[in-house]
Amino acid sequence: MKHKFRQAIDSNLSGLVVTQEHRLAIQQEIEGGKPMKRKMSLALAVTLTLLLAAAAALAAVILGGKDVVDQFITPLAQKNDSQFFTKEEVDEVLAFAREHGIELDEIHLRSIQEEGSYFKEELAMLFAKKELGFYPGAWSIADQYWFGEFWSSIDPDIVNFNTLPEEGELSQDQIDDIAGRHIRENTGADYDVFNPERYLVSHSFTAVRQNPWYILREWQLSFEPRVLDAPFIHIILTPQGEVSDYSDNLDYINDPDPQIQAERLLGHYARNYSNIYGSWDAWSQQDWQALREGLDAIGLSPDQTTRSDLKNILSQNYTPPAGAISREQAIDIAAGAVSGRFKADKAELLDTTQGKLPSETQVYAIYLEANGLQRWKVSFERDYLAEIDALSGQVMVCDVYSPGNDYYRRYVLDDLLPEDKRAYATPRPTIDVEILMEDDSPAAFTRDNLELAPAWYWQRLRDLGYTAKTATGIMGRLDRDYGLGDRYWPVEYQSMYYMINYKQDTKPGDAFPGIPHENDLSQEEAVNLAMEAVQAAAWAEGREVPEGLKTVTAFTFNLFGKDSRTWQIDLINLGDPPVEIRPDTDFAYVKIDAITGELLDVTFPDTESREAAPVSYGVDPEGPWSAMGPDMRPLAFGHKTAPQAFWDWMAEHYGDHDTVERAVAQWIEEYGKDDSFWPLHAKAVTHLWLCMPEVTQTDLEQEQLAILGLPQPEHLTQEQAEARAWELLREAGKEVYTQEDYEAVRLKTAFFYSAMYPNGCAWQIEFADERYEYDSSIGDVTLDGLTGEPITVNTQLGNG
Amino acid sequence: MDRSDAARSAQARLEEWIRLHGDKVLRACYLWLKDVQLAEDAMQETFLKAWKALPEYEQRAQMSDLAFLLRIAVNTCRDMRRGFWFTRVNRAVALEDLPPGQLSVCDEDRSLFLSVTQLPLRHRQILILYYYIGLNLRECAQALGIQLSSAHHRLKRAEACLKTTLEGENTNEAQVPSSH
Repeated sequence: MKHKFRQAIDSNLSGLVVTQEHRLAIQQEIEGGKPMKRKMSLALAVTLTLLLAAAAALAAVILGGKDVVDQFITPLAQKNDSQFFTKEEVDEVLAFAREHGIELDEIHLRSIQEEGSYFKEELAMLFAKKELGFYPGAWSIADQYWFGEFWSSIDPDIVNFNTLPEEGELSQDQIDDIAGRHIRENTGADYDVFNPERYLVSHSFTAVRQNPWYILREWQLSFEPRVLDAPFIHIILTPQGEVSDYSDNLDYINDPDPQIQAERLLGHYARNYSNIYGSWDAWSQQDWQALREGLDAIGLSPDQTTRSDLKNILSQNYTPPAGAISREQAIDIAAGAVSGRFKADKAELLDTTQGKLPSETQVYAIYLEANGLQRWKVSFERDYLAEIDALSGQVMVCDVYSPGNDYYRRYVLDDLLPEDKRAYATPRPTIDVEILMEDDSPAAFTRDNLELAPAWYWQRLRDLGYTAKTATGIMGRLDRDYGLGDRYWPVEYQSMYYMINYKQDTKPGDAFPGIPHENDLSQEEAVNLAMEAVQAAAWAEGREVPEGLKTVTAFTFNLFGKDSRTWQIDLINLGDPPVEIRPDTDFAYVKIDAITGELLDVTFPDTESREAAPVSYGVDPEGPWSAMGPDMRPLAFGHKTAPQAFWDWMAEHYGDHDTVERAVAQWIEEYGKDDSFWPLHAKAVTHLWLCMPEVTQTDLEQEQLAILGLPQPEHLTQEQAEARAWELLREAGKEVYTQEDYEAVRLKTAFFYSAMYPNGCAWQIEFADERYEYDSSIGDVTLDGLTGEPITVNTQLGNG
Repeated sequence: MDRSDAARSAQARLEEWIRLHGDKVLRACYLWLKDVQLAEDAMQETFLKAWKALPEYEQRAQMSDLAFLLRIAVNTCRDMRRGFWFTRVNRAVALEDLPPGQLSVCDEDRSLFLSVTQLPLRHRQILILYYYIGLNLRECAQALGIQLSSAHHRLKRAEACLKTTLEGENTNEAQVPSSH
C-alpha cells in the first residue's frame, strides 16, 4: 500500500521539486543577518525568548552585569532610536564596565570591537549574562522580565511578553514544586530535575495575546538533561499551577532502535563537550574515540544509518598510534604546506589571538584513521585544510576549505567523503540579499499596479506608512493588539499583509483581501447587517443563536467577479476563556456586497461537514440492491464458491426480494443499521442481496469471489471459532495489549466461503474497539473454517 | 554577527535535509494546501524554521529528522490555512492545475492521487505522513502534535474514507466483502 501510495503521489507531482531558486530563497533568509531583525515579528520575538537557552549557542555570547545595563547602557541607548551602538559607544560601555571591575571575555571583546557597531540589546545581553548566567532561559522569571523591560525601554517596537505573577497567581517556587511533583508522578521516578548537575532548567512566564479577546498567561518549563539516562521534559502550567501540557521523551530514550540510540549518544556528546558556540572543535581525541566505541556498543554499522555524521564517526578511529607525530607537529607541517601552496602567511595561519572564534576553532587538528589511512587533519579558520600522514609527516592533502564543502569535512578524512563534498568546485553562489535599510521609503508592495486594483487602493496602502523603518513596530503592534494571526487584524492590514507576501503571485482579476472604498458600506454597517441576517436565518432554520458571538471580518476584491467588493463576516462562538478560534467555533458566515449593501449569503458551517461525511457501514435497503439475474435473485445466488446446502437454505428462507426486504427491515429495527454485529444468517442474506450491486458475470467467474455464508455441520462453530481466535490473539498479543484493550473489545465475526482459503472457507474474527466506536480494532484473526488452523493473526492496533 | 561554527554546522545540516527531504516536504505541503505557490512558501518556511530550531532540536533529539521537519511543515501549513485569506478561496485541485510532471501517470495512480486530494485535511495529513512520507504512527502523532491513540484513530478513519472514495470512483472493483 505504501509503495502504491508513494508512486501515485510522486508520479502525479513529479513536476513539483525543490529548485535551486527555492534553495537560494532559503539561503537568502538565512544569510539576511542582522538587518533581518527589522522584519522580526513580536511572535517571533516571543519564540526566540522561549528558545533563548537553547539558541544561546548561536547568539553572540559575552558575559556582563545588570548594573552596567541599568546604569549605563540604558541611558546611552535611549539617546537615539538607532538599534545599534556605534563603535565609540561600545567603547564607552566597555570602559565604564572596566572601571567597575567588569570585564568581558576576550573572545567577546574581539567580536564587539571588530564589529564597529553592535545591537544595543545584544550588548546589554552580554553584560546581563555576566551576572545572571549564560542561559537566559535559566534566569529567574524576574530577571527575564527585567531584561524584557529594558529592551522595550530602548525600542518602542518591542513588547515585553515576559510577565510576573499577579495576585492569585503562584510564585516561581510554587510552580517548581508542582512541576517536580508532576514529573515524578508521570515518569514514576525521581530524576532529580532541579539538580544543576543533572539538568539545565529553563523557565518562562509569558502573557501573549491569542486573539482580540484573550491574552494567554502561562508558564513553560524545560528540563534539558545533562546526563544520558535522563529524559528531556517539557511542561506547561497555568498561572494557578494547573498542568496544561506535559511531554517527555522517555519513549525515545528507551527506544531500542540503534539509529535512535546513536542519535541520542551523539546529542549527549554534542551537549557536553562542545564549546560555547556549539562547535565540536573542543572535543578531545579521547572524546571522539569514546563516542565511536559507544556507537559500536549500540550495534549501529555505517551502512545502517543515513546520517552522514554518524556514518563518518563509525567509519573512523581516533586514537593516534605509537610513533605518530604529535598534534603540534602536524599543525606546523600543515601550516607550512598551506603557506607554500596558497601563499598564505604561516605566522598568520597559526595566530589565534586575532580571530573572533575560539582558538581551537581557528586552528583545528584531529587524528583520523580509516581505510588504512592514518592522518592528522588540520584546518585553519575554515579557509584551508591539510591531511598529514601521522607516521611519516608527509602532506597528503592540501586544499581550500570552501564554504561549499561539507561542513563535516573538518572531522572526516577526505577519503570517506564523496567527491562533491570535498571538491573546491562549488563556491557559494552570489545572492542578492534585499536588505531592509533604516529608511522611510514606502515599501515596494505599495506601488501602484492598476491591473490589480485602482489607484486609491494603493494610496490607502501607502497611507498605512509601512516602511522598512516602521515594519517591526507595525507588525508588532498588530500582534500585540489583535493577536497572533492576520485573521484578527483590521482589514486594511490584512490587505497589506497579503500584498507583502503575495503581490507577485496575484494576477489581474484574482480575488484577494482588499480595502473598502470610502463610498462602500462601512465595516460597522456590514457587521450590524450580518448580525441581523444571522438572527433571521437562524430563526428560519430553528437554530438557537448563542450569546456573545464575536465577529471576525475580511474584505475581498473580485470575489464575485472583477471589481466586486465584498464584506465577509464570520460569527464566532468562543468558549470561556476564549483561547483559540477553531473551525468548530465558527457559527455563521455572512457575505455582503460592499458596493450595493446587498446581503449575498448566510451559511451555518456544520462542524461535522467540515470533516468528511462519516463513513457509513450501515445497511441501506433504500440503496441499490445486488445485481439481479433473470430469476430475480442476485447474480451470485447459487455460485459454486458456497456449498449447495447453503444455497438450499437461502432459497428456502430468503429466496425472493420481498421476503428479504421484510427481513432486513426487521433486522434493522432489532439490531440497528450497522450490520457488524448481526447474526451470521442475517449478514449472509444482507451481503448476498444488498452488497453486490456491481457484480458482473465476469466477476462470478473469478476464483477469488468471497461470499458471506453460514457454517455447515462439518465446520467449526461460531463459538469454537471465537474461542480459538481469543486464544490466538492473547498469545500473539502478550507484548501488545493491555487489559484495558481486551476489555474494550467486541467481536465482529463473519464466515466466508472463498476459493482463496485452503479449505474453501474461513472464519474472520475482528476484535472491534469500543473506544473507537467499533470502526477500528485491536487485531483480527482468520481461521480455516474446517480445521480451525490460523490463517492470519494480526495484532496490529488499529487494524480494521 | 559573523556566522559562528554552529551556524555553519546548522547550515550544512539544513542543506542535507533539503537535499534528502525537500521534494517530499514540498509535495506534502502541496497536498495539504492544494496550491503550488503556497506549498513552495510553506516548504521554504519549514526549512527556515527548522534551521532556527536546530539547536533546540539537536539538544532534545526526541524525534527523527523527518518527523521533526514534518511537524514544522504541518504547523506551517496549518498556520497558512488559518490565515483568514486562505479560508476565502476555493482551492480544489483540478488536473490542469497540477504542476507539469516529469513522469507519465497511469490511470490508477491518477485516480488514487485525486481521491487523496478530495479527502478532508485531517485525513489527508495523516495519510500523507504515514503512507507517503513513511513516518510510523508514533512519528505521525509527533508531527501532528496529537496523542498516539488519536493518530491511530485518525489513520483508520482516513483509510476508511479513502477506501470509500476509491470504491465510489472504481465501481468495477471486485466484490470482495468488507468486514461489515
